[in-house]
Amino acid sequence: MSPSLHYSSLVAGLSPKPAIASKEKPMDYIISGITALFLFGYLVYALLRPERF
Amino acid sequence: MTINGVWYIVVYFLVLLALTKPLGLFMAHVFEGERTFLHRLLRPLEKLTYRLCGIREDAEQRWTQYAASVLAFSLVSFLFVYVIQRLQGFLPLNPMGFSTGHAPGNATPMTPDLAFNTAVSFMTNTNWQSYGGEVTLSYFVQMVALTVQNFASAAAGIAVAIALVRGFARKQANSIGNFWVDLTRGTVYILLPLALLFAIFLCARGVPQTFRAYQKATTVEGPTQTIAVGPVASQESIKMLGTNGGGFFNTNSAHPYENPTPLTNFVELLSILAISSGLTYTFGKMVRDTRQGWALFAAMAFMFLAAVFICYPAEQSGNPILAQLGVERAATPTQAGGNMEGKEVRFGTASSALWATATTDASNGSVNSMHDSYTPLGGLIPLFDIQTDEVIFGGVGSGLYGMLLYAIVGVFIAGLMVGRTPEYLGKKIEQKEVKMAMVAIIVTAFSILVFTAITVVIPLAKNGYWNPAGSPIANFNNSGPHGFSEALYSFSSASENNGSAFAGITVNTPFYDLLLGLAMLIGRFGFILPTLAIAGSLAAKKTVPTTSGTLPTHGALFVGLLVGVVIIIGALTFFPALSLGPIVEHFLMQQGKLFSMLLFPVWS
Amino acid sequence: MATLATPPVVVDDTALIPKKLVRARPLFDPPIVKRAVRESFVKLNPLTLVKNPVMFVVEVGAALTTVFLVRDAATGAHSIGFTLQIAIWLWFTVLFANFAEAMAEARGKAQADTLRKAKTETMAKRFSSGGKVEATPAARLRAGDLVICEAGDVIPGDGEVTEGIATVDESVITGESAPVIRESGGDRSAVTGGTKVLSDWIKIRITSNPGETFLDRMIALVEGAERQKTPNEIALNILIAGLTLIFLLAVVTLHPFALYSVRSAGLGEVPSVAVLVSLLVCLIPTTIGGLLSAIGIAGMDRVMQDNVLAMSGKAVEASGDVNTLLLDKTGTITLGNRQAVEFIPVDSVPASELADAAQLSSLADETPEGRSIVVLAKEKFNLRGREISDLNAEFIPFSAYTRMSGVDFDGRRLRKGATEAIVRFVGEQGGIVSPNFMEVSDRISRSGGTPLGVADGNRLLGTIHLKDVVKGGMKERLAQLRAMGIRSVMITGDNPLTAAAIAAEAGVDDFMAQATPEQKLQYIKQEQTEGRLVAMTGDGTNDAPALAQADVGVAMNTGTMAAKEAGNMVDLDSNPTKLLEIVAIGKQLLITRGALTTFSIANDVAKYFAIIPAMFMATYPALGHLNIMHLHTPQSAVLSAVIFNALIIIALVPLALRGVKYRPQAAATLLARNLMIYAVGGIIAPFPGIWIIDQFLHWLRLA
Repeated sequence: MSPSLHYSSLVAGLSPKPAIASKEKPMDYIISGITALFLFGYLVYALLRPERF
Repeated sequence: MTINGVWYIVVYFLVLLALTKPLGLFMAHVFEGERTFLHRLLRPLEKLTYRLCGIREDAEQRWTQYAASVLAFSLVSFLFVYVIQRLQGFLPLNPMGFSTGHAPGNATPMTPDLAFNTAVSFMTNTNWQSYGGEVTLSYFVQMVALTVQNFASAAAGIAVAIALVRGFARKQANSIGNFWVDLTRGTVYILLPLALLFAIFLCARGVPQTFRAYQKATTVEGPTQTIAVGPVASQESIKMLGTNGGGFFNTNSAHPYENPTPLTNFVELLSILAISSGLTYTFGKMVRDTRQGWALFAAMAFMFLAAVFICYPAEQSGNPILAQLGVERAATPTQAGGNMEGKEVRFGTASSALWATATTDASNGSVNSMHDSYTPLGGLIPLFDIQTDEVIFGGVGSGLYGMLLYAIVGVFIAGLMVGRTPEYLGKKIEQKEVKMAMVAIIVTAFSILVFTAITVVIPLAKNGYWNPAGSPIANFNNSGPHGFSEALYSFSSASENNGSAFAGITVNTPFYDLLLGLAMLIGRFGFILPTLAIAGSLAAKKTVPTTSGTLPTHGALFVGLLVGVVIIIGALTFFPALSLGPIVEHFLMQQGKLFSMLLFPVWS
Repeated sequence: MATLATPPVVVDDTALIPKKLVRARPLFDPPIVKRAVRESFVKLNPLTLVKNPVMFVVEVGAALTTVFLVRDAATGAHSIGFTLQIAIWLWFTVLFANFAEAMAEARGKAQADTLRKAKTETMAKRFSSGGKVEATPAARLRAGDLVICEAGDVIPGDGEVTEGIATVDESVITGESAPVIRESGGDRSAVTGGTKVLSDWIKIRITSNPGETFLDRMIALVEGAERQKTPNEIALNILIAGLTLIFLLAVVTLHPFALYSVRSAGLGEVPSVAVLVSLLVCLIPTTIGGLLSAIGIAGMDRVMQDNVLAMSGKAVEASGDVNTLLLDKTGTITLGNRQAVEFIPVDSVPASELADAAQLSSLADETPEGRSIVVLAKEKFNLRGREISDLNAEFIPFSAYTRMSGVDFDGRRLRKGATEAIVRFVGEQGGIVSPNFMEVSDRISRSGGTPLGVADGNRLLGTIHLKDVVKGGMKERLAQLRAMGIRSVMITGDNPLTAAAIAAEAGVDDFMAQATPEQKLQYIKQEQTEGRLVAMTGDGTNDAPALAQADVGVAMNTGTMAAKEAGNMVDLDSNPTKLLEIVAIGKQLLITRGALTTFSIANDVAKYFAIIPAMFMATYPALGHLNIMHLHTPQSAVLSAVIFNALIIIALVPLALRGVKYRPQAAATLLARNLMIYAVGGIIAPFPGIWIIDQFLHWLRLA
């Protein structure tokens, strides 16, 4: 549909391959989101109380 | 680019440069409590203020007291503006009857969320406007609530910057000045006289200053037109000087009654950056080494000119798609050329691009053209300017303290590379300073990124309270990357207290009003409180004597380092977001794809 | 100068003991590498890694990717090869960082093992309360106990000699095989547990409890057990944690942004968790995060290789910050003793006669000054030292009362001594003092030298010019210090005139003449109030307060226990010039941290150009313009960035352990050079690096 597909393959070597992206797995992102939230809290603690590390 | 356009920018910069020292020197005298030529006239007013408010002029505050004073003052300011807006229907000077039964049909109701947003906006020196001034607010609100805040929030910003400068200048002191005194002096000696002169100048050039109701006029074609007027000049002058940017009218400085002539355009442009630029000299003067101030000026000037000379050519070269259609876009004697969508013909491309850069370098946020209509690269510049924490001259006060925070981070990293515990102006940069500077930078990044993320994915019920249009993206005027830029710009503008709008989003809904209001609060106080903590910590330190082993912070090397730190931190934080907004849009435009005002693709 | 060589003492068990405290090992010594590899896996324990925010984030990311990978493998999802490779390289990133730290630690641990051998269980001869000697295990000695050590005994604990004199082999702690004298009283009374008495005997009052001895502390320090983060390290940790937080925000919000973009473009898919984790790991400062503790440990290690024992990393770091160095004149700036440089005869006396008399009067003078007169006479006039016994002479030793020494033989009375003493001596004999003699002697005094008059009975012969000889190269080193912004202050007991002359000759910035310990302490306090950091060396008990006050106090190992306790470093070689090396190491430590931080941040630019286009290739093919490295596929682009990020840690381990090259230069020059290498270089280097890895992956068909 988009002429841009054709154009981009001219300017750069990257060719789109779908495997890099996951089939939308909402569970994965929810788990990752919770992990990120935990890391966020952990890093804020590391930033504010570095002497404990 | 045209020769005239380049000259316009060069002359502008030279005049700004010429203003820096005299203005900076004057401000240094004011904040050091020295006598100036204005004291004869204004000292009684200053003293009267102290007597009325019970301020002890010689009392010094610790940083915690200083911060508490800033917070208390801001809270009272917020409540004052909120209440006056909500009560505007009962208050005088409301010839158009806003918030009453006989308001004009197109009037915007003053809802609690809008009043909250506006009160926060003017208290934080953001001046984000979710409303159109001429269809929402009475003259009383404009004058007593908003114009007063234009002075107050600007003076508060300058006060915080001066407190930080004192932190550098003082040795083993436990206090950083007195907020109330700094606030009063900044208002009485700096903002008030400048704004008064400027307002008179604007009146003389045709800006209205009246309490009369809007005028009805019959046009040559027959239909009648309502012409909004009001006490514009008095608000316009401080709006520009105090890097506030909240226009009397919805179209801001593109409106002929806010900015009637090329001369007013030039002077208003100058007033955006004048005080912030002068403060770099004030800083140098107060730390007793003016070279330090000029180094900050040089770093700011370098980034300023670089930004202008990316934005201006991008706008002047215009849209390639129009060129393919055979539209003339080169400059000719009769037209400015380039991308003229959203620009005033009377101002042209160069002065519009210059304004867009200056207003976002500073936390001004006034506009004389619509940033939404800029080319992707032209629009990237204002967006990136804002995202680098507005340290290129920046807001009055906030630009200086923002830049000093970046200097602290830069000195810390580079200072280690000369083999010493990093020092800036003889003060050791240690845990507390690094921590607070990082907190300030992270807090604004958090606000921009997280709130934009929420906005682009959160599903909201259609016709609900929060956002009647449904999901927040339904409020975007454009689809694709351009719509994304609109959201990113809004939260960048609010979080960094800029106040300019990319526009293109309908933002007067509870969802946007509250989230943007929150962003403004986080951006203002998430930056001010760490700054004052640093000021307190620095003031308490000894000053290490400068030796040849000390990192010199006044040379070209330091200027380069500072520019590098600002740009690298900004770029690393926002590159992913920008690549999905203006950057991809730029490449798509080159390929002939536009994102017009299409209906957004619907999904559940 | 003729130094008197100590006769070599044969010590039987030196074979076990390294010559230096830390032998200069090759960087990748196989046993150490083996130990480090094992440790890198042990350090994967999240409870250990949680102390390192950056690497902990990488580990959590690696674990998350692995969990999804295992789940996908179990459910039989196809094309998990890419995720598998990502997961492997993420784990390698953590392992590489662990390896760097383990390498640094392993070097110290190997050293501690050697030291422990010296801590064998010894039996002490303790005086019981009744005054009888009884055998007690060393481990049961308490502070205050009195023990006796005879030739061949190992000293059971740290203590002060209360009685006797003995030669002691301290090579266990100093690595120096030449024995040292330990005697009661004065500045040579401290003994260290684990060292060995070679001759004679000493009575020792034990001053430390078991487990708190100098050797114990040394083992703990070398092993890194007492390692605490230094202030600058903590500040840097804040910066790194802050940057990690910013990148966490940037990457986490990228998911909603991608979701919007994918929905809006109706093309492509949202990047998988593995790809988002990859981007996060590439962006957060893993290079410095992984190497930071290794840099600190290696810095301590380098100090130790210089045979200096630093009590804390903080002291090493502070030495980089020093503004003022207090240098003792004797032994640091000058060779240590005055030497005869010239014979100046009075009036018409032949120079050779003066030299002859001077030599004769000095033959029995065993002081370095006396010896240097003999040597000078030999050099200048070819006068050989005569056998003292042949002369049948009577030697008059120096006394504080007469302030002269000399010799009487054949009825001649040869004297040399202080100008006034000689003038008096000649006067008593009825001789006359030429005004020329006084002039010469004044001139020598003014130039910082010491005039020594020589008389033969009532005949005044002339003057010997004794001079402090400034160490070769000292002037250049002090000039380097000045270029680095460090002031040098010479401390001397000399009178101001002499001090000024030597100060000028050596090129120090300031001097303190006739300095008392109180004045030193005062001077340090004064400097500190003005915001300067002060470093000094000292050895006597009366130096202790100043050593304690100084920001960097280096005690000489030959010094008293009090001095060693007060300072925060002990120089086992007892070489006061060492302070200069310590300052350089402190600076190198800070520079290495700053350089790697800068490099780490600068690297991110290239990684964005690799990963961002790869992520959104399917959604916005136009972003292919950002693929300026022309990487083959999105997979290979992401993998290449992750692999580069992991390999750079290993590649920089030698730099972290050795430290960035440091030259004494002004700050501006140093900064310009380091910015060029680590900032500009850090931006450029990853582009070819990632490109090569991508080519390689493509060639191997891995992605």
